[in-house]
Amino acid sequence: MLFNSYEFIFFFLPATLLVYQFIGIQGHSRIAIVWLIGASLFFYGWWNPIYLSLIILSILINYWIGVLLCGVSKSFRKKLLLIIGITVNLGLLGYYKYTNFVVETLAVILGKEFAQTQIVLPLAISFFTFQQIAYLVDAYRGSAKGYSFLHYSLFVTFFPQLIAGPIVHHKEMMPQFTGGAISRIGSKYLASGLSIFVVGLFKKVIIADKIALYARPVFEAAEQGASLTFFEAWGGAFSYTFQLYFDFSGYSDMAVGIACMFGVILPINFFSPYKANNIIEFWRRWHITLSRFLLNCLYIPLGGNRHGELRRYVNILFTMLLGGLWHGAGWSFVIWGGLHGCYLVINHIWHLIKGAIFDENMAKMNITCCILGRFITFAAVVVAWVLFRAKTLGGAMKMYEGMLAMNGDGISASVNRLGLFGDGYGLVIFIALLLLVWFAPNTYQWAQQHMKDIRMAGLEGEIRGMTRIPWRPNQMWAILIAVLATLSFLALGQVSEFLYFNF
Amino acid sequence: MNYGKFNVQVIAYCILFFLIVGIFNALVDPYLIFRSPLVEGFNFQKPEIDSHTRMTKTFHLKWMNPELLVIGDSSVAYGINPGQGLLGGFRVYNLGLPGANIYELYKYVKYAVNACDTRHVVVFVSLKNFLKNQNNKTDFNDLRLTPFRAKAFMDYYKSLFTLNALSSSFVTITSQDEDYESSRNGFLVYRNNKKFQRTQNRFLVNEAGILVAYLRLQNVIKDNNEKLDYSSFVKLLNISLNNQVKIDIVITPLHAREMLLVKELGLRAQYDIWKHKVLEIVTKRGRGEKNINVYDYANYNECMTEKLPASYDSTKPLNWYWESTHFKPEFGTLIMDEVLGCKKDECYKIGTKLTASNYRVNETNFLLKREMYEKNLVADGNDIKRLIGALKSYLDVSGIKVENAPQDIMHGVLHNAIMHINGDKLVRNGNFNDSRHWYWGTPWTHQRGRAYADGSQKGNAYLSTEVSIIPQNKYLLEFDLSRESGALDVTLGGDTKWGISEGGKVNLSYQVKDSTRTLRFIGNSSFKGSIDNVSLMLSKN
Repeated sequence: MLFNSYEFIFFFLPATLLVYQFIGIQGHSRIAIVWLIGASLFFYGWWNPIYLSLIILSILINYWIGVLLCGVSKSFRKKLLLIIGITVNLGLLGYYKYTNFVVETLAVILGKEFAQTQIVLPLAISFFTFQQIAYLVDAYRGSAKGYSFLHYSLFVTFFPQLIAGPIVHHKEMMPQFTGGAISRIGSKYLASGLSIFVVGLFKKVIIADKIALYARPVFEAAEQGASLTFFEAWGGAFSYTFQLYFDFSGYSDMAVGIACMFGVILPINFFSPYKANNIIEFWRRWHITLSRFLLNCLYIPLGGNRHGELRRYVNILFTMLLGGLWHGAGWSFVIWGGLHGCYLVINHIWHLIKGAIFDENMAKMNITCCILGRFITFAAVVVAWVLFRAKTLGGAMKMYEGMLAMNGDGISASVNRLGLFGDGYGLVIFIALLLLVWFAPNTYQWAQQHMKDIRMAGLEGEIRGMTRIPWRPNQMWAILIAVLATLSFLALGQVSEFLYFNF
Repeated sequence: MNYGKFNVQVIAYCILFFLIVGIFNALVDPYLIFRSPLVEGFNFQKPEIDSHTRMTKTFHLKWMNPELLVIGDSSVAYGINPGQGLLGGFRVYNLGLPGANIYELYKYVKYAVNACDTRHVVVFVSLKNFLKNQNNKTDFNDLRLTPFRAKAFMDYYKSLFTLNALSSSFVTITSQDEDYESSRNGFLVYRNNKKFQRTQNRFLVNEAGILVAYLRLQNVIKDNNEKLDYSSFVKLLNISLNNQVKIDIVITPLHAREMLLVKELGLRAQYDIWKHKVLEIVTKRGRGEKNINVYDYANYNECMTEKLPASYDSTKPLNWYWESTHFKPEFGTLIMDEVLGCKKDECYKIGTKLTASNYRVNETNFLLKREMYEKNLVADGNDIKRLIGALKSYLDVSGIKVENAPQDIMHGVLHNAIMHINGDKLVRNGNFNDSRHWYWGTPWTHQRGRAYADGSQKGNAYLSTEVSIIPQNKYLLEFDLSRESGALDVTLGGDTKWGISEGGKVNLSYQVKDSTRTLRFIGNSSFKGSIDNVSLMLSKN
């Protein structure tokens, strides 16, 4: 079930919320938790009931290993249990997500064809696998004790974050399930959640889905081998850059908003990433919870920056390569991750050089540096998104050919009116969206007064004082939210999936 | 305001805005499914019906409750006009569905037979309808045609509460000056695309579209005629006959040019086999039945062989055809008069009532006339050949695969091919009215309506523009050169003409080798002079 579907908005969400609130107000917190788990499994099973058994099995195995890890004191047995747990999780993920990729790669290398059945990727497997690996690691460290099976099940299945994140940490969710969430039931969190949800829905169905109409034909043309001109190729790349931004931002807002309606506070996962002045900052703003997971569970265990600069860069590259592979089983994703790894390494080297050459005051960013930095970062991200979107490396190369003006810089007759710069409104849309992603306050900044509970992840400074018209429960905001909601509901006719559902 | 009140207000405003949109859409009723009052100048004309035929015709059909149903693809929708809803004394509805395949036709006939008092169905068919790979159109939905009409609820909902419906309402209100009245009986008015006002162009555009459809399936059909969907056709016959509904199968008249296209693609034998198979199925199923007939209008009669006006003539219309697939209602009326009115074989002037016994004779006549037509109309044949050649070579070199190329791409490719065949000039702003469309390398400048290089360059002086060219074709480049010193090289599509140093009118012939779409003038280090009136055309030799 998609957040942007009739069945979710008009049936599932109101029904689940009403029953949950009714039970919660009566004070039956355990029944409320059971209701939420049941609703979440129904939500997951709507896509394909067969895979319900997979997620339930995964929960049972991980919880059981977690309990064992908490009860075992001998370090060897503990380590063995952890290895078994991680192997089972990665094994499942590897089988469902990477088997086709490995077989296809082997076929190319060996020049043979293997008979294979296409394995369907179960929804959300990348997300719930990572969440549970983080839980097992903490259970091994002794910092994940005493969770009940009910709470653990809800931690994994809680439907607002189940399908496409954020990748929540047990420490930020479990305390809420043991009482915090139920205590927040009421109109205040409902109002905040509803407003954030509507803004997210608007971003998805009105902005992302519409700008996708500009991106799709360009990338499809590139996949077909068409020679794209400079403006067509850049138009396509910019369109996808905006599409992905508003798609993921929209989804993240909707997830936070829905959870908020249930009194649950999810961590911020998306915080105006195109406002980043360098690529390190970009990764602190884009898919924040994935960055956190990769940092804690991969980069730091690999040694982080503790073994010298060279080793640090190797660790960054390795982490980003795997981060790319997490997004999708394909070489274009691996290269995309590698490219971002290179960006990060260059960024760190630049910081070193800057620190060595300039004194402290000079090294601080002035306004010109900020603008330049933001522009370069944005351009680097746009270039990399081409790999992220292209279905094949060949398609990506065709896009890059066009972006390098290797096919001329006009709007060609052969691919007439293709791309963002191919029609009259395109340039206006481009400028408007650019201003929006570079300068407009984001949802959390609008709702700053009511978002105090949200995990800020070092973004507290940016949350405060960014907008002169903060969200308040008044008539003006009620009308504005209702207008956005009405427009979004009217656009639900053509339901499209969220891009991050594929990962 | 407290939070509870805020929540109530948001929901209340949402409901209010929803109601406003719904009431507005219901009043305008852009698809004519709510039967709202029609007000001149407000919602009387319904232009949006044309683009929502599969939904609207389901509703209209039921209301019209026709005794006679005429069904087929767009050739029927644009070619059979039931006038005020009466034809041959029957209450008639035109159920032409643009792009329909035989499965869709079967489903709609089944729905009509079950939902209406229909006693007679006339089905127009062509080879294209039978292609199995021709998927159902995206707005087709089986659920819409079930007795429970589960989809009808969603149709009502989407006609009230979607942005698409709202947009259709605005289009309806702002399009009241045009005449769409004929849509009531299912007949769609053929609207000329202004871009292709010349009859020649309309034919080419249409043929290009058909060409893509056939190219996509060429190999499939060639290998195996059984890849055509005959089972839906059999079901269509069964559902009619089992309900005592008379059924006439009409083989759609195509313009002779489309038949030429079929021939050039090597599908002529398949076309003949298909036609024979249709007759065979009808004969077999209709044994002992009086209620079933086949009529062949895809023969070389005077309408089908109507000659196109000259390529420069933008005014002369044809009498019987819009282009090679869509015949005009005048022709449609002749067909319907014969199908509904003729009692004796001698009565058929433009079509033939096919039977197992007259099939061979009819076929022999057909082949003779076809040969005569092809001998007499060499120009038309060359047009088709050029179209196929241009498209194929463009696809070959660009690497685009026609089997799965998106519609946007194919549209661009075809436009390109047509532009070439028409001999349109391919250089934009070739007479340098201003500096647009050209890339001015040092020291080229736009001066007094020409491109001028003052000789101050240290190396080469580049002046270039983007052109749409198709590799493996010959092009003629023409320009005026005024030279004071040095020489000029001119490159196009991987072919370079070196050292042009003679002033005056320059004519160059290029054999384009690759897909580089740049026409480049390169003045050498001592070149000083100007160029003007640059034109580039496909060479038809």
